[in-house]
Amino acid sequence: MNEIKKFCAEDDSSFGRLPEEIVFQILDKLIDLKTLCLCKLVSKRFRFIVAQVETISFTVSTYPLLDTPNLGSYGSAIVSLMTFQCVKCLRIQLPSSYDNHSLFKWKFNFRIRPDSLIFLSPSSIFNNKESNVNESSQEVEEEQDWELTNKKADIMGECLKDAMTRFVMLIRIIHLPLLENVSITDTGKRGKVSLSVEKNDDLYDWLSSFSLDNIKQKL
Amino acid sequence: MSTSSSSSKKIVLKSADNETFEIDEIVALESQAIKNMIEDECADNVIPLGNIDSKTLSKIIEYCKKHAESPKKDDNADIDEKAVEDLKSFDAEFAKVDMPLIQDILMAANFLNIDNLIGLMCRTIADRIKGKTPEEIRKILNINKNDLLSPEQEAKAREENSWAFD
Repeated sequence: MNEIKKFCAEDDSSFGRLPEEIVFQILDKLIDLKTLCLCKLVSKRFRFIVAQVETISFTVSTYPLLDTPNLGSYGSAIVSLMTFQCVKCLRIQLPSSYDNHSLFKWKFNFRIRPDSLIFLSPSSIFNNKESNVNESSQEVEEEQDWELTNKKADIMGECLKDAMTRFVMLIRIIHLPLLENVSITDTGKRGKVSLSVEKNDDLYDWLSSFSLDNIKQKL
Repeated sequence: MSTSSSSSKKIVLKSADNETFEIDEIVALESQAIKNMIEDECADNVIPLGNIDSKTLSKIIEYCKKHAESPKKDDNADIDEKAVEDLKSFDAEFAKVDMPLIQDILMAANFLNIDNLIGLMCRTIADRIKGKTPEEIRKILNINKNDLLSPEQEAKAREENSWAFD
């Protein structure tokens, strides 16, 4: 703190004259994680003040793969995110894992093992198939049933992947000490997770009881 | 100048370069600091503002006038959408000035305690540094060289945040 005051005293540029709470107000409006990280390099004063921001939005550009040992740039971003220890409100946007229109909704209940998975696909896919089936011979019908089952399995896989991505993300960011609100969604505004973090409630205790290592063991 | 001004009370502000600005009291009340001075009856007819030059002060008065004339949000729930839009576009135009003036306005607004104006100027600066590299930000804000990270600190920070440069 004293160190920072000293910089200000030596700094007679007009930006240097702005008091700390004003610089904080500016940096707290940047929101975007990438910009905030770049601000850490601007100056000593910036680096000090940017660490106090309370609202961050993080847009993930490549879909994080959970099973790779090295998470690459996504992993580094999460490490950077965890250095912002004052953040209260966090918004994360994931890329959409389905660019086709094969899925409307999914809902996944799980504790340590999955309880249930329900997903809703547009009826158009299935209706079209059915009308085809009606007009076709028995052989084709079987082939298309098989195709349909495959398609369902694919969608189910995608849903599980999405749910796990969000879960793994939550168990890391839950350790940010001042966190109050989290929302995770994808670019198609699907797969939304909203969470108000209240210390000492069951959900908080449950989420913070995990670490990535014990998850890997349990799976 | 406002047409109804003849009957209302006037306040005179004096800038650092001794220029005087006569304004309606209602305009001056946009500043919480001046409001407190008037309420505590420690304001003379002329309020000297020794740290604000006339260029900055006239911009601030322009802002306060517009905002004093506009209906306040919490006064009435169904104020005209048009007035809100009008104020928004005024703010956007108002902020189209160079960075040294923005910083001067910000310093003065902070001294005079004009919350909305502080917010507007902070947003403007934030918008101008979004998506810029650290070098560009230093240039935009004219960051003093004494405040730069040491080469070692910078190299370390660059490595830790390398993903943000992609």
